[in-house]
Amino acid sequence: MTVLDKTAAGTAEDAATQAATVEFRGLRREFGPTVALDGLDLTVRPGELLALLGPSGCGKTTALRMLAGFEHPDSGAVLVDGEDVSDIPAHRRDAGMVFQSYSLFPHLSALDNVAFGLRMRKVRTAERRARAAELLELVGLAEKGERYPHQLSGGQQQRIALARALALRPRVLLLDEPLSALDAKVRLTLREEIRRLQRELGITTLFVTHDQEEALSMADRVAVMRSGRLEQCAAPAELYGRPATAFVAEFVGTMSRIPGRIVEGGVEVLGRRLPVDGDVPPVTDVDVLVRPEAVAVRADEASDARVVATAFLGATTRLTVRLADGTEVKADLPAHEGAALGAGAAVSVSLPERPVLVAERRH
Amino acid sequence: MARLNLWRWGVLGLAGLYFLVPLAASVVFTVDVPGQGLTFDAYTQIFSTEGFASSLLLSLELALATIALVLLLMVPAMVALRLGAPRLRPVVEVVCSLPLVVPPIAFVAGIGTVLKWGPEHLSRTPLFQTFVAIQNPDFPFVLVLAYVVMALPFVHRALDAGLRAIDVRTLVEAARSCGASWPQALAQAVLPNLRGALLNASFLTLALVLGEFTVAQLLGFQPFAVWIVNVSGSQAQLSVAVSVLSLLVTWVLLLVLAGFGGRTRTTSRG
Repeated sequence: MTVLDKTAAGTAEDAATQAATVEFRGLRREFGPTVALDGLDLTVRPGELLALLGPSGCGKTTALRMLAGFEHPDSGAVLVDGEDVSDIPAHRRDAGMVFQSYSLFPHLSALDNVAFGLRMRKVRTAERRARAAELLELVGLAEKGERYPHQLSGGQQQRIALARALALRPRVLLLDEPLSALDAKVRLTLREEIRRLQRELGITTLFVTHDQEEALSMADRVAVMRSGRLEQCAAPAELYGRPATAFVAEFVGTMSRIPGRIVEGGVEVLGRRLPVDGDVPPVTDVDVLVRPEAVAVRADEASDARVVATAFLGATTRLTVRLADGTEVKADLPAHEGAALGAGAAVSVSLPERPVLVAERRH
Repeated sequence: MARLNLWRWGVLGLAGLYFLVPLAASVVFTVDVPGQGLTFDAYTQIFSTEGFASSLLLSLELALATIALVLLLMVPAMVALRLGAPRLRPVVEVVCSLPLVVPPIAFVAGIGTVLKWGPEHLSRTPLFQTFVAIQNPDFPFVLVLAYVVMALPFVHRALDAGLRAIDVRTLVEAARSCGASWPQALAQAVLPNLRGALLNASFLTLALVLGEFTVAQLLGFQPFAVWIVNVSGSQAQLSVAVSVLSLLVTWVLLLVLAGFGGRTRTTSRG
C-alpha cells in the first residue's frame, strides 16, 4: 500500500507542476475528397479532461492522432504549452495513448507491456520492473503482471493499456474511444476508474468518443464536432441546457422539434407565446426544440394528440406523442403517471413558461 | 463421433501408406542387397564418396543466404505495403506469384543468357568483375539471387498470412506512442508477433533450396541435389541411399527450426 500511496502522490505532484496546455489552431486535413478537419480551433486547459464528441467521420479521431503525431495537418498547428509540436516525431511527443482496439503487444506479459516504454528509454531492468509493478497496482491489476494479453478480459486489457500509456509520465493522455469495445457494465466501471486516475494524476486528457452519455458523465468540458469543425465547447451542464446550435441540441441528449411561428417578442407554439432563448432565425416558420423532461403531458379526451408508443425507463416512462399535425414529441413522465397513459390514449401536450430554443424548420 | 473418428483414421492411414510405402521400399532396397543380406554399405559409402560434404555444405550456405536475403527484402516491403499502400497489395501479390507461373527452365535460360551476354558487353567495365564474382563456384551468389526469386511466392504467402493475423498499424502506433522509433517499433512490436510467419517462410525457402536441381544444374554448379543426381548414375543402391539421406537431412533441419520456434513460443506463453 505504501508503494501505491507514494506513486499516486508522487505522480500527482509531478503532473500538477507539468500539466500541459494543448491548442489546436486552424487544423485542416483532407483525405482525398473528404475533409476530415476543416479549420479546427480548440484549447485544452491544463489538467482537464476534455471529451471530443461527434458522429463518426466528424474528425475527432483525426484531431487526436495529430496530437499523437500519427497524422500531419495540411495547414494549422498543434501547440503543447505554446510550442508547435508539428515537427516532433510521434515517439518524442510525450503523449500516452490508449487505443480503441486492444493494442497490447501479444508477445509480452502485462508487466512487460507496461514496461515497454521504459525499455525504449533504456531504463534499467530492476527500476522499470518496479515502476511497471506500481502502475499495475494503480490500475488494480497488481497480481496479473505475469498474464499475457490473451489471458486477460477486455476490460483488464484496457486497464493495462492505460497503465502502459501512463508509464512514461506523459504530459498529455490521449484516449481514442477506449471503452467502445467493452460490454456495458465494464464500460461503466472503467469510466469511473479512468476519471479517478485522471483526477489523481492531474494529467491533461483528451478523450474521443461518439457516446454522448460517456462524454457528459466523464468530462470537465465537452467539445462537440461536426464535419471537421467545432460546434461548441462547454461544460456538460451548459452543453445540455444551453446548446449553441441546433446540431448540438439534437446530438446531445434527446430533442423533439415542434413547429412554431416567430411573432413579436417570442415564438408561438402549442397555442401559447414563449420567449426565445438565443438567436432568432430570420424566418417566421421555425421548429421549437424541446427536451423530453420539459414537456408536460396529461390525459385530455378533447385533444387530438395521441400517445403512439411508451418505453419504461425505470424511474421515468418515455412517451411518444403524435400531435394533430403529425409531429412526434417525446416526453418523460414519472413512471407512475406514465403507467396510466397507454398507447392510443388521448392527451394534451404543453410547454412550461420558459425561454425555448428555436431552429429553422427542416423540410 | 466414433464414426467420424474412424473416418479420420482411415484417411490418415491411406495418406500414411501413400507416403510411407515408397519410403520403406527405398530403405529396404538400400539395406537389403541381393546376395549380401542386410548391409549398411550403401550408407557408409555415401560419406566416403567425393563431394558429399562440400555439396551439402554449399546447399546449406545457399539456403541460409537465400533466407536472409528474401526476408530482408520482403519483411520491410510487406509491412510498408500494409501500412502505406494497401491498395497495391493485389499488384504485389501477382508479381510475387509470377515465379510459380514461369517454369524454372525458362527462368534459368534467361539467367544463362544474361550471364553470357553480360561479360561480353561489359568486359571493359568494373561490372565484369561482378559477373565473375557471382559465379564463383565456391559460393555461386547468382544461385542465391535466383532462389530469392523462386522463393518469393512462398515467402509472400507466409508473411501475408502472418500480417493478416495482427493489427500492424495499431501495434506500430502503440509502440511509437511508448517512445519507440520506427525501427524499434518494427523490431520490438511487429517482428516478435510475426515469428510464426517468419519460421514458415524460412521452412519453405529451406526446403526449396535443398531440393532445387534445375537452375543449379543448368548453370553448372554442384549443390546437394545436383550431386545426388551425379553420383547416382552408376550405383543404384548408393543413389537411393543418398535420396533417403537427403530426405532425412531436410527433416532434421525442419525439425530443428520447428523445435526452435516451438520452444520460444511456449516461453512467450509463460
